[in-house]
Amino acid sequence: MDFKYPPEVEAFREEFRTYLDRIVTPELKAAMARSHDQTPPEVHAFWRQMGADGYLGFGWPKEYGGGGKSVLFLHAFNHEMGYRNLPVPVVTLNTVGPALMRVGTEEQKQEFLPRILRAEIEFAIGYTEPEAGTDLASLKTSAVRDGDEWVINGRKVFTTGAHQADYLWMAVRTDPDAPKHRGISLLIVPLDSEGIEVQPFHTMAGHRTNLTFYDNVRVPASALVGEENRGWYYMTTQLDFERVAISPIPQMERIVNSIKELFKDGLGPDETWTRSALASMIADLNVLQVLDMKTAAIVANGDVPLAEASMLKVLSNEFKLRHLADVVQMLGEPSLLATGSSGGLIDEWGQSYEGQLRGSSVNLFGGGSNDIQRDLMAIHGLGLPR
Amino acid sequence: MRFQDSDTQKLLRETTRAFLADKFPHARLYAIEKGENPLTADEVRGFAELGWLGLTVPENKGGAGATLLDAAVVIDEFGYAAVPAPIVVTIVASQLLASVEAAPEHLSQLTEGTAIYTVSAATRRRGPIRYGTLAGAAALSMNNGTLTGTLPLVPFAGIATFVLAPLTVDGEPAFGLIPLVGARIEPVRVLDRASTAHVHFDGASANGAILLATGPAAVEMHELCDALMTGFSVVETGGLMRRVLEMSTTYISNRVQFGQPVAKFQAARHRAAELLMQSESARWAAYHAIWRLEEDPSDRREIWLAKHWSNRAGPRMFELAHLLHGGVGVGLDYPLHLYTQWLESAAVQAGTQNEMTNRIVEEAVPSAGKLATAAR
Ligand SMILES: Cc1cc2nc3c(=O)[nH]c(=O)nc-3n(C[C@H](O)[C@H](O)[C@H](O)COP(=O)(O)OP(=O)(O)OC[C@H]3O[C@@H](n4cnc5c(N)ncnc54)[C@H](O)[C@@H]3O)c2cc1C
Repeated sequence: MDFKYPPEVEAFREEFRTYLDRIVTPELKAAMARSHDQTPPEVHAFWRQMGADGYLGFGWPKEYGGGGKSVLFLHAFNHEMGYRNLPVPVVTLNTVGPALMRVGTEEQKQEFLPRILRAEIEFAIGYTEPEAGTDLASLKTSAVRDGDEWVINGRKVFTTGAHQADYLWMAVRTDPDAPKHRGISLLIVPLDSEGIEVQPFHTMAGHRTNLTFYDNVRVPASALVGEENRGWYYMTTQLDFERVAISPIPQMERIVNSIKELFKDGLGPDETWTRSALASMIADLNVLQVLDMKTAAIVANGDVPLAEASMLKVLSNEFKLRHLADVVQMLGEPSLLATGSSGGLIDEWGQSYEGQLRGSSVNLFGGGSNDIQRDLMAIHGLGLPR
Repeated sequence: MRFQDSDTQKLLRETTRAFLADKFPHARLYAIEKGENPLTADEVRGFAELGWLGLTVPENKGGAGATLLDAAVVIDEFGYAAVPAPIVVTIVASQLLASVEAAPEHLSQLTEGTAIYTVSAATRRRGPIRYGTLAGAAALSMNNGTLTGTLPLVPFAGIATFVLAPLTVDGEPAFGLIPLVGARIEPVRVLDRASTAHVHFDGASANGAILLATGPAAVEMHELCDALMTGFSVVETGGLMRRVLEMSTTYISNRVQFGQPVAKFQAARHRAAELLMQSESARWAAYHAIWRLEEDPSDRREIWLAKHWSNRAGPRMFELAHLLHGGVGVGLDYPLHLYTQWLESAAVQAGTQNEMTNRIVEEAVPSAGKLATAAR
């Protein structure tokens, strides 16, 4: 056993912190604290700056213009971004880019990868449908070949970003007769194509997502990603650098640090429950940090952290919600006030506690429901019969 | 013993449920949440016509003379319907007003709905606000006929005519009925999205203010106020919980994934069963505590116990219900969030876990000695 973090990664972390201190302006922070409906221009400018400075495709292989940095560097990168609540164009960078590298045509790679790295284009993900959530493979939106074109019909839900992105990375059924996992393909669909309707869906988390409708939408045959009917396989196999995705752990560290700061003048003698709850929070966080390192180390050593990734997801998302509920309990009624109400409590990154609490409802089922993750742990971690 | 509504309670529950379902459908609640169509004073007067506001006021003082448990049934239904209305504060105010002889005309105005009463719920005797700028705000005081200071986070201050609140008069503790007419009302947005405001008295005239109690009697009235607020809030929370349970079980029974209702998956059934355990225990503990208080107004122990349980059960139910609902449940045009955000709020309002812990342990282990309190 050797738990030392490589010194070169630590050195990078320092360098990256200094970099962020320099380029994260008060204007950017203020823009982030505003409405989430539209990515503000300040955020786009920030991404373009990061792209120009080589940080956006930091974990991408060098042959695609990336930094070719190993997983541990990427882990440090994600940590610093998450701690500061800084947005990362996650789906474009972590889902679309890597899949294109793996199975995209030369033409698609040329067309999209450099522009992704320069933060010039954004993708939305169109997987979920009204009847295909956890059971994603039962999706029905169809694409039928008509000469040199695909004709798309159907509807998607929770198509986040579709109202402002350039392209949709879309899962469609191309073979209705095949077993459900074997009839799905991926298409790249320009969002300004005729026949697409986007309706807002507002959430308690404060973000906008969308309902999207597709009525005889036509895209060229070249919109197909990889082989026809192999979409499910592309959607579920991940590259290493996708496995150390943004996690809630850095945000949880920020939450703990922010209340430690509020408590710096000491706790009152009647804050008895707070002591015990705070101790639990800090102990939870420690466990998460250790498991998080373990997961990153498994990837860095070339193995696949199947059960570990599920474990981390379940624990971190459930703890995050419980920690926030405990934090408002510790801080009392002022922490129930929304941003902009006088007397409210806001952390140093402009986040209200009530806002973070509402937001954490989404983590429980997004990206694979926690109860499905528990099944995966039983199967992959414990080898229990399916 | 009978863990069931009496005939009167059954009738009260049915009429309350029908009325609220009719007047406050979810579409109206979304509008209230967005601040587009807030609850009006006229609507509160409508509650008076139904006899809800003066429900527990003795008949010889113009009320319906119902029991606290009867009032709890109505309050439970307000929670079940997630209607953010001044029902808990009105019942609490009526109990406090009925406990003294000082303000008989106010009891009849309250009962008739000709004036609207609220309670300064956030100025708890045992739960001072410690963090943020509100912690430094001056407490309410009355000197030479004027009022100064702030009552933070007063429920429904925007439509109320009077607030019942602790204050100091020439440095001595008092508990008073204060007109809101001369106050500056600063609306704020709270997690539960119920109408709430900070109330500032910047030298307002104390004309019309009535001191309901002074000295040790005021301290006792403040304690009673806190106990009633806590007890009835837990009842209201129990109503929210029952609805969250119902919504979740209905949802997973109808939602099909992998070719079958989600309710057929054992993991999901277990989640639903846990929602049942949490809500049933919270709800009956609340009713039982109100019954104890009614039997012996000095017996508040179970109120603190019920709140301690409820403070844990609410956030747990938030987690389970959102897990079971998936993406649909977080939509602002889907009702679940109205209930779950209120559950999280309620766990902090009307008695935090720190306050409950101290009260419970002091009572259970007197030899541990009284913990220091920081009374305002
Ligand atoms: C804010 C937000 C943004 C999103 N953004 C996107 C996006 O950009 N693109 C996109 O494609 N999708 C997106 N999604 C959709 C997201 O991926 C889905 O919400 C998720 O896959 C869960 O699907 P569902 O909501 O239909 O829940 P359901 O599938 O209905 O599941 C609900 C619950 O049912 C239970 N359940 C289901 N199956 C089982 C089982 N087999 N065993 C036990 N329990 C089970 C679980 O408790 C689960 O949590 C977004 C969702 C939200 C809320």
